[in-house]
Amino acid sequence: MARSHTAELMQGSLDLMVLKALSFGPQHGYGVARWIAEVTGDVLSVEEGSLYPALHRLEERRAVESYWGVSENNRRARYYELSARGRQQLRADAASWQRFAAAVARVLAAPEPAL
Amino acid sequence: MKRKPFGREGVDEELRFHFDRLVEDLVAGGLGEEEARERAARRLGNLDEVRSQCAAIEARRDRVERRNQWLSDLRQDLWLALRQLTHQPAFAAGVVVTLALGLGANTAIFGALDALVLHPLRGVSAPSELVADTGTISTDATGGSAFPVGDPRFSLPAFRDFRDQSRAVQLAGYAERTFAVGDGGIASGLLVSGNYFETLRPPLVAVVSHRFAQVHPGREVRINGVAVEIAGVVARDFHGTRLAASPEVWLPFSAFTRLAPTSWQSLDPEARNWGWIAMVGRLRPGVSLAAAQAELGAIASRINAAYPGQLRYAVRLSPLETSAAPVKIFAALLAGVVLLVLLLACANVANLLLSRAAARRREIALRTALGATRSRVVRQLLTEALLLALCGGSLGFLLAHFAAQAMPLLPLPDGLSLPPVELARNGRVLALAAALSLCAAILFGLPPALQATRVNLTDALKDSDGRARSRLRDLLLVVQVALSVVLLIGAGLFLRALERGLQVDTGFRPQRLAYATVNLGLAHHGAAQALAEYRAIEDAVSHLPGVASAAWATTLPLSDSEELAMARPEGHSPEPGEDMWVETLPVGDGYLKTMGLALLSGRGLQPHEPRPAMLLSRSAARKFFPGPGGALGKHVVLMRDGPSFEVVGVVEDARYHALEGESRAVAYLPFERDVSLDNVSLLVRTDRDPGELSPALRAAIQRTAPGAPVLAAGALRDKLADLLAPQRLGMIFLGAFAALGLVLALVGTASVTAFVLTQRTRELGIRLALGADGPKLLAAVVGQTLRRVAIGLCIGAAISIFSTRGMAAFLYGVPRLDPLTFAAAGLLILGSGLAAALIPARRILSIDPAISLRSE
Repeated sequence: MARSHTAELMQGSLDLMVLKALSFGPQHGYGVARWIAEVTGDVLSVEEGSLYPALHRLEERRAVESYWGVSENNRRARYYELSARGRQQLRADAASWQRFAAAVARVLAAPEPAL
Repeated sequence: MKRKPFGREGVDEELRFHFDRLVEDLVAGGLGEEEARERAARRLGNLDEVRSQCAAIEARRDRVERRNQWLSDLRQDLWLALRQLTHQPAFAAGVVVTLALGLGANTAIFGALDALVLHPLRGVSAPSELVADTGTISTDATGGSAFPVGDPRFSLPAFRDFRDQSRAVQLAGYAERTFAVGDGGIASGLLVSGNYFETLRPPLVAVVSHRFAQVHPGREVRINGVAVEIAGVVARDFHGTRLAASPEVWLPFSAFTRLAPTSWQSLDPEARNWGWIAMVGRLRPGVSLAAAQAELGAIASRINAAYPGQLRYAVRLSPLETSAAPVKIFAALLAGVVLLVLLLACANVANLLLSRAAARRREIALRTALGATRSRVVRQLLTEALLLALCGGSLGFLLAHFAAQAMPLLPLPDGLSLPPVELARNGRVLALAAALSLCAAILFGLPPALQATRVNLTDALKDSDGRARSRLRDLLLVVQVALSVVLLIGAGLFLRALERGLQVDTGFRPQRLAYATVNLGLAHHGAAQALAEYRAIEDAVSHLPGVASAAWATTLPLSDSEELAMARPEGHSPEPGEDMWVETLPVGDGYLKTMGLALLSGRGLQPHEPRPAMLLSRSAARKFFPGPGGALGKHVVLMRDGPSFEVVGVVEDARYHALEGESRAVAYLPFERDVSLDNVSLLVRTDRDPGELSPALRAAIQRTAPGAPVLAAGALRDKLADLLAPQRLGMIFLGAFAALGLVLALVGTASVTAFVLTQRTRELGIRLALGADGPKLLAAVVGQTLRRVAIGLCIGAAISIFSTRGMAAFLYGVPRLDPLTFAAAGLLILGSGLAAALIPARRILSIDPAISLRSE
């Protein structure tokens, strides 16, 4: 149960995390997945396959651009790079996500109302 | 940015990379190979679904990008094309004007055909449901033959029987009449059944036409002297159901008696032996034409059986919207000719583009060398063609719009008038104009584009012209000349037919005749009073200066109206089916002298014949009295229970209604024998120009019978011209197109010559430098072009041998392979071709060998 809830939450914010992962420089899909797993302490490392449709959708929306490059271990890999538009989207989405998360946190921390 | 599609293999490779790296990392983390693979597969999840999702996104992106690429290519092509054309404004203007003429002619003609032939019933709801009756009527009085009429007339009671008994068709009746409006005005109108508008369903049903309402504002108008309230105005488009007839007033049948002028009062609208109603009908929902036909046939049989001795009806229904065969042939002919003109224009433009393509080969070769594919270059060239075609099409539409507005000015037979055709509001015309422009662009743009790009790179950079290119150019010139020849010969044949038609022996001499058509009945003069006034007018006009003689006739010669009667000659029992119809023509006693008709035997009619007397035309006399005794002194009965007329003279045949075919049998009766004295025409022989006599005629009539409505006055030769309207129309159209075609062909000839000259400047320079004779070279170059013209001429003449077949019916005996016409067309083409070739070729004489050699 707990896992699937996490998965749903992740689906909605996957784009945001991918954009963030790419904000440090071009990266291939595996790198993006590793980075997310490390940062989140493996909490969000499920179903890594679903990362790829997200990457391709972002490319379709011109938030990222892709090219074939050579990986650290000398293999051909598809690299993704944040575009200007993607950078803009990251800023806007991150701000609204933080506002949302803060609001949810305040709700959860609220004491029982005195009636 | 151009991006290579990653495709399905790309997605697979990407996922495999992820899987392999994951396994590597897991193994490095201490897992066994097997376990690592299992764990990696679990972490990646359902790979098939991921793969198909990614592939779908890729495909979608591909499509979008291809579209964007296409659009940006188009933008680039248009920009390039625009720059090309603005750099050569003279060339662009030439092409646009040429195309505008071709496309405009097509748009105008199609617009006219659409309005007049394809959709003749304007302002009528669901015209496809309407049917007209093209059956026959006959009188069974003599058991004689039935005669077909275009617009069969039913008696009023019979019409009511049909209308009330038919379940399959909603039937409406109408009768065309002329009305006196206000003081001295005339309007054509229809008497209609009460359900006429309900049947035809024009929007906003009412009583007078749009134009009439503008001329006669107000709620009331005097018609035949009776004040009539205007119930409303019909829609502008509605003109009844007959093409080229434009009634202005619609009145109910019941108005017949109330509005009846004197001349109608002897007529009983309720009589079953007077058929004066035409019928149109609307098929009831779900009823087929055949079922309706069967039902009406049954009703007709019932009526025929119930009223023996009265008019007998045979009904044949046909859809009202289909036009008569001759109209269709004319329309097809016209459409064919105008398409030919467009083809010609396209050939010419293609030729111009070809000669320009030679100059552009370096540019094209350069683009190809820089990596543009052939299809990409062809597309660029086609975009240019399209731009030209669109400019030409727009200008052409403008021209067509003005041409269509001028349609009412065309010479049509008397009484017919074409409404102005609205092109801009007709979606079909707009669509056709656009489609034709597109087709034209492909037609004239593709061959040169394919030519220009079929280049061997090194060859083109060396700037040499291919043999194929000049062959294509020659071919186009030949085609242009051939088409012009076809059009010229057509126009020439019509011209000859007109000339021949004007010289047809009508039996009378129309050249110095004037006429005035008067209707005293409309002015509510009593019959006796009217007859006295008619005689007084005849007398007054005879004494006008310049008038030799004057006589009344109840039908105007060379008009399309006629009165027919079934003749029963003494001692002649007609065989079944024998044609016993005779045209009855009551005339004044000076008629023969005025018309110049020869009296063959007997005597003419006297002012006051004591007994019923008649003259017969030569063919009538021969038909009714073939025996050796001849016709003189014999008797003929023309109407049932009517008097028996004695034949007192025989007159030469006259052609009153058609310039071809057999002369109709005519019986001339004393003027006072006319029962209605409705619309009678005074014929006047003068030694002056008959056209200038009209004011004097009108004045004399008004002096003698004040307030008499004069319906028309003019020269009789104009009526002859009306009969020749098809030939005149044909000559105007074909002549205009031929002129257009000739101009195009001459431009083509000149441009081909100019091109050949440019091609050979160097060679000619060398030959001149070596002492060649300038004029001889000139003759050689011109001869080269003229050979093409001559080939085109021969081909055009050959095509004409077939294409003139459709015209044979209109030619009044001019052979359709008339040598004079063919020779004249040939001389015109060769002569003007020579001139067109000489203009650019003259340059040879001023070539300076030194300069021409340096030019390369």
